[in-house]
Amino acid sequence: MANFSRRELRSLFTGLLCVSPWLFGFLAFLLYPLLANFQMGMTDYSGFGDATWVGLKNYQDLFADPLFWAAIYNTLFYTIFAVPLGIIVAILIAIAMNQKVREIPIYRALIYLPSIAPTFALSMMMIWLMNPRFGLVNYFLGLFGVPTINWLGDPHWSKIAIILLAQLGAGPIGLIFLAAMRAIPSTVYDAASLDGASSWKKFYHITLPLITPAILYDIIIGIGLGLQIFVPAYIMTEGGPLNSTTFVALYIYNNAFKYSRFGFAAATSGILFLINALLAISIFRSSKFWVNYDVE
Amino acid sequence: MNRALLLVVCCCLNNVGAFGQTQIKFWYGSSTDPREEKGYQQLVTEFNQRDPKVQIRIEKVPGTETDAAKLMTAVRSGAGPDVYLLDRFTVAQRAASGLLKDLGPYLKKEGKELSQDYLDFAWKEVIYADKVFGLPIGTDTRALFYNKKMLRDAGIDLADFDPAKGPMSPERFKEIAFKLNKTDASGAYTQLGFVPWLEQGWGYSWGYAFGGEFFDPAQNKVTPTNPGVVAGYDFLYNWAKDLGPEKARTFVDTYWQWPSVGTLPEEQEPFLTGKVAMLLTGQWQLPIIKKYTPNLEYGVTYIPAPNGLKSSWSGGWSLVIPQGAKNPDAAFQFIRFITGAQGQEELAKVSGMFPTLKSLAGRKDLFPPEYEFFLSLLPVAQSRPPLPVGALYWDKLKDAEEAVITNSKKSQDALQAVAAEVQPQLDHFKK
Repeated sequence: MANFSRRELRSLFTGLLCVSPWLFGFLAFLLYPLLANFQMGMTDYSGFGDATWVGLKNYQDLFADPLFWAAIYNTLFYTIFAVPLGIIVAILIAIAMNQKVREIPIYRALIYLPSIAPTFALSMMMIWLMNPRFGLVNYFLGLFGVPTINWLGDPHWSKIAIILLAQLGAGPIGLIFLAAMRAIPSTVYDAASLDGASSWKKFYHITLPLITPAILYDIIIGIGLGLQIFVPAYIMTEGGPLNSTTFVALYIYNNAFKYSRFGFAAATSGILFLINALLAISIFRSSKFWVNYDVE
Repeated sequence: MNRALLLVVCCCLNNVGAFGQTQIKFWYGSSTDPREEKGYQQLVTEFNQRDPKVQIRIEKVPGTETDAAKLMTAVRSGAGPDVYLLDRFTVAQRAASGLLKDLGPYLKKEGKELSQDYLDFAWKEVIYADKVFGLPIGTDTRALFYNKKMLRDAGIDLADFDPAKGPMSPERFKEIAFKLNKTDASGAYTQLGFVPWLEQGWGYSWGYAFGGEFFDPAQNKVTPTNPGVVAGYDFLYNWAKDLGPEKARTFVDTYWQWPSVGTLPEEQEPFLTGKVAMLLTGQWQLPIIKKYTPNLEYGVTYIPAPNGLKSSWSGGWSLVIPQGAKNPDAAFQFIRFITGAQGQEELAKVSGMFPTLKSLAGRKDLFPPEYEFFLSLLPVAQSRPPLPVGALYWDKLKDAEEAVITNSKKSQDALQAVAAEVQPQLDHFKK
């Protein structure tokens, strides 16, 4: 403290005061639950009554449970495919929203519409759309000669069905990409046009590099959301068929609320948190190789 | 300003009730049968009229047989109900986790011994560690429904289905059922005689039908690998194999909708629409048929079983008081009313659920004549073992069933896995 002048100290205090709501929120709603969760993960606790300390036993049980590893596989499978696909879909949405036509507000509203519907409602609807024999999805694919796919009932397709469903929620990320695209000065494009660059070249060499900061943001957010995927599996498949959609979050939910194993569930959440943190940090580390902050 | 004040006052009144009134929150899960729902609503109205001082507020909350997340979080946050309608076979589990109030003190205060009043199996289901955690309400039995017209059209003699002859052998039954299978040009099934895992075709149904036992009380061991249970699962395995597991699954997912809980409107059940000729289910199917397909020509008979074993199993509900209930005394009065003779009689009439009181057990007059066969099954019906791991055991048996009907595991292996996962959890409660 000796290095601060009185004035500096005062502004530090004012500054802290200004961010105190956020600080309080962080401490009370993030840091404390996080630490409490790790503590709970070391106990045998039904959610009621007293918790007994069991040390690392929950983690031992967890690693010995084949269903846990299946859940990890399912979750990583989902995240690895849903996040990149989500970026492609969001970029397409952003490009579509960025067209210079008069009726663009209408298109924007239409494109964004599915993102407003709650995942719950989308999932309910999808059960019908993905019906193997009466569903519109299969009907449409059938026009191109694709044989009947049992989207939600076949363990090979169930995760893919949920990955596809997630793309209906790409709207908000699309908006972020749109904002990033609009921030690119038109002079850059004008110069490229003068040099005779094609649309694809302009996209690949100008747009894409300049929206990489937004892509980085989306990957990190997407990983967080992807690892927590829960609602579609809870509504549409209950983790089935053959546990092919038992994601870690569903596994946690079942253990906590169906089987009253809160300590065990807390230990599982701890693992999920670590995976999430590791992935986020490594993506962030890698960003210096591919994220472009040139035009601000 | 005045209007705002009035609004605030109204809101407060809505929450606490009129002055001097005791409000009781009664919750039931969203998967409750609509006719049972109606029965409870009627009883609540009646109770409220009897005593204006005690008012019951009935609310439907998210919740299924094994999922009580809403209840648990509400109780933890101090916003739980005073009375909850809990699937009876999970009482032991919820009691073991500390979610429920021990009703012993209230029973003691009333000075009445109720254990002899209720059907034995139902009473056992509400006991955990020698304490009473709920009062049993309603029970049911399961049997085989068959569509007479579809069977006749396929040239099948209905004599085999006569209950007087006892249960059909599984082999004969399969022979009949497979005659009704139809496919379209692409080879996909458009109609099946019977799908043993539809509706109530749980592992429990077939395990009991093949003479299996799911629990050994003497050793406190779950016994999913009991020979009878394995035989029941083998029956499912072979049935799926002969239909073609993939094709059968596409059929089921088309007409039944995955998963079965809550996503299929009851009027679209494949038995009503003639997609399957036979269905294993409970007596609650009777009012559904009456409502949507009153002209359906159907009959009811025993679940097919080897050696003429008459089998069925019973479930049912219980009314419990969760921890943290604001008015447990009044809640107990309400529970006693509903689970008592008057309450159960009315509920039986409205919902078709069988009473759990011995004094009402023989009362055929409470039900339309078509219920008689189901009532006659009560003496042979078994019930799921009331275990502190009831929900886990149920879910794992369901997993094993799925593995078997997709032919991805042999019955023995699938059931072995169930024992390996459930037994350690059960041992945990012995301390």
